Amino acid sequence: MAIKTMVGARVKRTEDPRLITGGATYTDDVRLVDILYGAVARSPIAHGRIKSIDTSKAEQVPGVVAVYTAKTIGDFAAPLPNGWNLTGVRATRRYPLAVDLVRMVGDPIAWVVAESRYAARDAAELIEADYEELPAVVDVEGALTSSTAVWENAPDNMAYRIEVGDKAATEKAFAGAHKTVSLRIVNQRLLPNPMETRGVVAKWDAGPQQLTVWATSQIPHLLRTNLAAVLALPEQKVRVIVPEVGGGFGCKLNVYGEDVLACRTAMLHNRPVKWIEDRRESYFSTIHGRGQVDYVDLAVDQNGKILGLKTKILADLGSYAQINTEAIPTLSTLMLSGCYDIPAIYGELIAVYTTTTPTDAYRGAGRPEAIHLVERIMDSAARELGIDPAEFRRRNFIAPEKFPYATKTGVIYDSGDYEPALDKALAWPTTRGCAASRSRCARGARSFWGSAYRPTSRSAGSARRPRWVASAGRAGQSASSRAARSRS
Amino acid sequence: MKVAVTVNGKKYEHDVEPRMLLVHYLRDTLGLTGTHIGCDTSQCGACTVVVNGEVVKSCTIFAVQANGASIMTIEGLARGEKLHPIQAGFWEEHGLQCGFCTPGMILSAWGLLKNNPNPTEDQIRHGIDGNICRCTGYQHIVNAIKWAAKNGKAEDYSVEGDTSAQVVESRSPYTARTADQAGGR
Repeated sequence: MAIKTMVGARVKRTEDPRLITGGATYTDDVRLVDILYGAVARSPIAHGRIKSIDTSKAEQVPGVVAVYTAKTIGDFAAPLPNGWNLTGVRATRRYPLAVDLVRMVGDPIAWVVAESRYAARDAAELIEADYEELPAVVDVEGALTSSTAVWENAPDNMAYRIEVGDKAATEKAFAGAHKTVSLRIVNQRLLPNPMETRGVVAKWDAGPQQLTVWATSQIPHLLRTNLAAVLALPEQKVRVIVPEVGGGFGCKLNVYGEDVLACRTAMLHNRPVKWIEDRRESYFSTIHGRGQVDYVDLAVDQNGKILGLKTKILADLGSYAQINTEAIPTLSTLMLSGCYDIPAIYGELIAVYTTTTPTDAYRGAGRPEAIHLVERIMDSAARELGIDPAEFRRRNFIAPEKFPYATKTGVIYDSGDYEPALDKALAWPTTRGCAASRSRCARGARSFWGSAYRPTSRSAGSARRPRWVASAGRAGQSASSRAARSRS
Repeated sequence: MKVAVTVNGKKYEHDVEPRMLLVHYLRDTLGLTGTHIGCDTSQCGACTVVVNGEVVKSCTIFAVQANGASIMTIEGLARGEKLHPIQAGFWEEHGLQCGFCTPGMILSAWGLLKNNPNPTEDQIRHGIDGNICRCTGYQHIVNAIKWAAKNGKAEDYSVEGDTSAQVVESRSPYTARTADQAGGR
């Protein structure tokens, strides 16, 4: 088949034959001689101090080789990685098995290795732990005034606070506005939920002191670097193989405790160890996506031109910072201009710890949250002004001749031409038989389209960079001003 | 407990724990890892296989319940190098991305087309509603099954030990209805 151009060409995928005949190898399909199976015992409560863990019954299960807790698994050279460590972040420390405190339902407290999957699971269920229960902190707004701290070093549960844009200029824009509109938006948590859950197979070759790891991962190289760091191995002695991956959606862009536990026990027992997450534990222990409460204000003039945008994002980080956790809502703040020419922007981000599963990268990773809040406030403003929502957008698009365009959040967009895309989106509903509910359909199409531009964040002399300032004091607004803003 | 089965035309006999799931028997004991586990709770259909001509989620039954049965897994669908029309349809119509749900999706489609060779789009969507895909949004899977319906023959749906026709009467109304629609095949 001669392909003159790849654009529009029909190309059959070369990987499909093995996938449609059952010949593909996913992580759980890796079969090694003498392999052991891992299983995790997890906390059933959201927050508590571990008083004792009784592993004696689990150890009696036929086929069980060993049961480990944080006390017996041995020291690690480093905690689980947190890839960002932004200046001023009140950092968390997490080890593969909970030390002293559990901070979420599903927090691993013990690790079993056994001759079969069934024995490992049987034993994990027989592990009994005694907890001194502590109050759960599950509401991102309530967490800031809660008397319970998830982390000692963050007594108000605030992980960090950053600002982007220009506060004074934005307030000036609002002062001179023809109209202002406000919204409170809950961008709810979600489960990434790939068809293939997480899993890992670790094999230790004692002779050459070489660790081979099969993992369903989106980041084989980072996984290798971090496993080496946590296990105190030279990086060249760790080989990570990623076979077929049954979906990731961001949640496999991480380094998890179970990866480390499988490696550590493979080394301790000199036998391969496999761990495959089940669906239920995936819901607890694999990262979640989104999890924001957004306060948004838009100022417009009498001609329907945007004068300024103010946002306050409360981001729920969950109980621990995973490898990208803090980065995700910061990406939201950088994208606050959406595809609009907004002359003044001020964005405040308050990132909060709660006793829930950590949030991290999920499909777009922070940026769709920004697009969502921008497009929602655009619709609200159009309604308020009595302007057609499409027309309101046309008036405020970044004009093609303005590229490369520096947003007021410090990002450079290299290119863009949004109006033809809007026209195309508006044409869809009629061709799909949606004429009767045209405006509703069109709005949906636009929201979808709204995230389809391609910004770059390369540094440029003229662009303002975000200010990575963490405030030392208590976060943000008083309860009364928060209530005043939550009218919608 | 003893379990003796024929899988993809090959006979096997093993002593297994009574609680061992059929999917673990196929994957871990027989090494047929084309059958996948997505949810452990019979929701997702990644573990779908054909037991005596009938489509079954292999995480819902014990290996010993399949004693004496003739089983077809995804590994047994192609005839040598020649892909089954459903497999060919999935390749032609981009019916997969990550491929994890695909073996189960293909075998559910097999059960659908066996009983209803020319399904409508609604019948296709109903026919695969026990199988979850996270990548495609389903449209290309539906297209793949349409392709297979157009390019398949009756003999593509005959399988050793098929007793499904005999038990149709005692099945749910939906199963009976689709069997009625089987018509000429």
